[in-house]
Parts: sequence; C-alpha cells; structure tokens
Amino acid sequence: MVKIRVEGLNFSYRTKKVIKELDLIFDSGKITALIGPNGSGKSTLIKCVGGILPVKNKAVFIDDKDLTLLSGNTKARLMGYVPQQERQVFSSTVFETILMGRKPYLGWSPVAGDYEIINHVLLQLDLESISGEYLNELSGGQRQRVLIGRALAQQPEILLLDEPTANLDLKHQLEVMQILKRLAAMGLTIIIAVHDLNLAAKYCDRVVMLENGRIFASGDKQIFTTENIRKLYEVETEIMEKNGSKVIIPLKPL
Amino acid sequence: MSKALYTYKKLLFKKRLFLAAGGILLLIFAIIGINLGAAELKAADVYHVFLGDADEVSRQIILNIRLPRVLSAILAGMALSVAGAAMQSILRNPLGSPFTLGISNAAAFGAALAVVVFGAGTMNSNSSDAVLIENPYLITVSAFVASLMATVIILVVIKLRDASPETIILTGIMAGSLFAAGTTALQFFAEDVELSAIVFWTFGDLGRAGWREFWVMMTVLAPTLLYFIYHRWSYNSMDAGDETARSLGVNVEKIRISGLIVASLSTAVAVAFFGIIAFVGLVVPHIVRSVTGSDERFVIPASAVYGGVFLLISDTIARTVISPVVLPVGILTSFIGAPLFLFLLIKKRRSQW
Repeated sequence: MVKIRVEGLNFSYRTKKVIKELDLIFDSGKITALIGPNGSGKSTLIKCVGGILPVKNKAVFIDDKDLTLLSGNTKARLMGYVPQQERQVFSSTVFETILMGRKPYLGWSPVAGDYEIINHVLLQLDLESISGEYLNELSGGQRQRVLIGRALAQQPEILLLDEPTANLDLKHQLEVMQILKRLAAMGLTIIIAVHDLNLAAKYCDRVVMLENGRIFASGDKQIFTTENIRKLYEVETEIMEKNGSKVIIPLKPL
Repeated sequence: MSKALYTYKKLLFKKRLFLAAGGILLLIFAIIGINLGAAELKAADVYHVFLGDADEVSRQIILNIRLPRVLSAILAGMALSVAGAAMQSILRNPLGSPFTLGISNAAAFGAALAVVVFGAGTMNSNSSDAVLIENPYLITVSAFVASLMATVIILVVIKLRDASPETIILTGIMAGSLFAAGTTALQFFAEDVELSAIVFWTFGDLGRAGWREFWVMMTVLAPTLLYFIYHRWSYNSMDAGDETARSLGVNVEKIRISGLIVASLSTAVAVAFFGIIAFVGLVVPHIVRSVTGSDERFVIPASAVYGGVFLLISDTIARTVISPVVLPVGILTSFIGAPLFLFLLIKKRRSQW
C-alpha cells in the first residue's frame, strides 16, 4: 500500500504556470478522479506525479520518498502510466506492446516469468485473441485496453491514466471504468484525469476539482453540486440521485 | 505454452531466420565479390591465395585490393545502415537517415575542410586510384566534428521547438544544404589537386578502401553496434512516444542525444573514407522493418547485416558492370535505392509507418 503526497507542487511550461502550490494526498486502493475545465492542469498533475514531466522542487513524495531521487526503473516498477492516445511510428503487435511494460525488469532478454505476467495481463483484459495484431490497426477500445495492459505488465502499485475514455464509445467507456474498478479492488491506487462528470461520479471514490492549477474542491461524490459545477465550468446543470449515484445533466453554458 | 505466446515465439523465429539469412547472404556475396574484378582471376586462383601457394600478382590483387575492398564495403554499408536505423528510432521518424538529416553532407564538408585547409589529402595523378589520403585520422576527426555540428543543429531545434517529425527533417535538409554550400565554397577556393580530392567525396566511392581504412572503421563500428544493441529496449519504448518511454524508466533526452552522437560518428567514418553514399541508411532499415516490424532487437543487427549486403552488391556491380571502368558506388546505391524505396512506400502496410 503506497501513499502519494504532493506538497507545494509548481509546474510551468516555459513561462506559463500550469500547477500552482498544489497540496494533495492520494489514498491507496482508491480511484481518484481529477476533473476540471481544459487547461486546469489535470494531465500535467498526472505527469508530474508519474515523474514524466520534470518536477524541479521537492514536491512529490511516494511513501515519503522524494520522487526525484528514485531511479527510472524504480519509478517504472511503482507507477504505470496510460497516455490518452498513442500513435506508434513503427507499429508493434499487442504482445510486443505489452512486453514493453516489462522494460523496467528486463535483463538481456525476457524470461519465462515475464511471459507469464504478459499472459496473465492478456487474459485479464481479454486481449488474448488479438495478441498478434498491430496496435495501429486496432479499434479505440481495444487499443485503450492494450495501453492499460502495458501499464499493468509493469506490476505497478499506482496506475495513472490520462483521459482513458476520451476517444471511446459508450460501451467501451463503461468497460474501461469497470476494469479500473476491479484493479482498485485489488489494491491499486488509481489516479485518472477525466472529462465525463458522470463517469467520475459513478466509478470514482474520490474527486479532485482543479481550476487554473489549484484545487477548487476535493472530497467524495458529495462535492458534485450545481453550485460547484457552475463555478468550475460556468455551466448550468441539474443533478439527480439514481440508485445512490449522482447523475449530472448539463443544461446550458452561462 | 499459451496461444498468444506461441504466436509470439513463431514471430520471433521468423525474425531470427531473417537475420541468419542475412548472414548467409553476406558470406555468399563476399565470396562472389572476391572472385569478381577487372583482373581475370579464376576461382581456383582465389582458392590458392587463401591456401598460401599462389603467385605474387594474384596474392596482391586478392589480399590487398579485393579483400579490403569487399570488407570495407560491408563495414561502410553496416555503418550507414545502422546509423539510419538508429536515427529513425531515436527521432521517431521514418525519414531519418544520415543523408536526410544533413549529417552525410556535414561529414563530407568536414573531410573537404581537412583536405583544403589542413592539407590532409591530395590528388595523385600517377595512379588509377586518384586520391591520396595523407592523413586519414585527421580527415575522420574533421568529418566527425562537422557531422556533430549538424547533429547539434538538429538537437537544438528539438530542444527549442519540441520538434515534430516534419520540423526535424526540414532542419536536416537545411543543415544539409548549408554544409553542401560550404563544400562548394571550399571547392571554389581549392587548388586543382585538392578540388579533385573533394569531388571524389561527393561521389561516394569505395576506391580508397584499404586495410588501414578497414581497421579504422572496424574500431569505430564494433563499439557503435554494441552501443545500439545495448539500448534496444529503450528504443523499443521510445517508439511509443517520449512520455510512455519516460514512464517506463527511460531517460529519453540522454538516450536521444548520446544515440545521435554515436550515429554521427559511425556516419562520419564511412563518409570520411568513401564520400557520400546515399540511400543505404534510408532504404535498408525500411526493408528490414518490413520483416522484423518495430522490434529493435532485430532492426539494429539486421540493418547492419543487410546494409553490408546492400552496399557489397552495389559495389560489386559498380566494379564489374562496365569493367574495367569502375563506377562510383554512390551512383549505384541511388539507382537501386530510389526505386526500391518508392516500391516500399507503395506496398507497405498502412499501419507500419
């Protein structure tokens, strides 16, 4: 069980400040949704936590260890990252793509143990039948599962996903979220940037609302109020309760 | 074994077979190359040379002319092709090659500079082998420094602009023409003997291949190849994009910069000795990838082997097609390489690149 602590995090692209003095703690075994309008810093925060963007000050701690002091392989064994989309220049097969996830463990060549883990991932995500196909030829839903599979092959304790449902149809959106729910139940700490408020409300244990690189509100689903959403997105909504879950109906922009 | 693993292992077997086939082709064409040439030696004479009981003339021709030339063709082909394959992976760009990135032109400029300004080579009109290199090390170092300059230009643009594949190639073309203009300027101020020496570099010709060149190239190429093979898993991850590679523990910037420097070094040696030989570095990695896919574990060694085969065949044809006149091999590689590349472009799977 790992704990991620973010303390006074700042990040800028050139001169543009995207994350400003942000403090946050992520709990293990839970799905945390990062939501907020475009440019609010969701993706940037995920990449800072994952060590993908260079964080200058000591701001991200994993089990109280400074992220910048961890080696590349240590980080990669701890955290898996699923990009929003991926276009490989020279396309790999599904099997080869998931094999990439074993990179932080590999010596000269993959061993039987690596193959076992890949097999397990293929079964877990129902990818076995397409394991020999090229990633660039797959449909969006399949591709997203492969990318999650690669991150799982890293055997991480933390899974970071940047808008994993953005390019998917309804069925695949729900499918991906259910996979994440299952993984969280197995003890993974999951952080996901997401645009769809209903998906966040339905599947996530915790919600962090971001506005201009700062935390606007955080807590459980109860923070989904018409008031909060109006302030954050400048959109008028109606919120209903259905089977104990919140349903957010957008009405009009302000 | 699960079905998925079986499919994968079958694919691996196919790739290994392709690599082994390349090795056998290399051997076959090396033997053919040693047997063919302007001096009409029979296969039996060649055989006797290696047994050590041939006459002095055959011995000289085989051991000091044909053998080093065949081996140098293989090494130069390997150096250019591996540099191209590595550049394509490192820059995530199917158009990457020593030539398209301007590194070949830069190396030629460096070599020309060494000839004109530092007096490292002159024209020797008494011999059929027209150019006399007085100081191959100086020429190599000068070519390397110039090719590093082209590399730095590309790296700076990547750093400043977070460059797209298109920007990188445009930068390469720009750097290439800059150095080509530099070479032209040097030609303008050069004396006759130096001028001839420079013109030879822009041809791309293996006529200067001797044992000395072979050993210098060997010293550079062997560690280069090991270096690229060592980083194969990093290149595999980089193909998925910088962010993914970083999340897999790869230090992308470091690998990219050091990889480009090593690739320029291997280009520089080939260009310093033999001039600009186009298309090898671009076409061969693509032919290889059409079989091995993106797996760098095979792309790099197979590019080396087939690069050797490609240049060896081109040079053997260049030596023999209108014998006793020897064509510069650069002409042949372009004549073979350009149509081949067009063919690949039309035939390739849409998903591959």
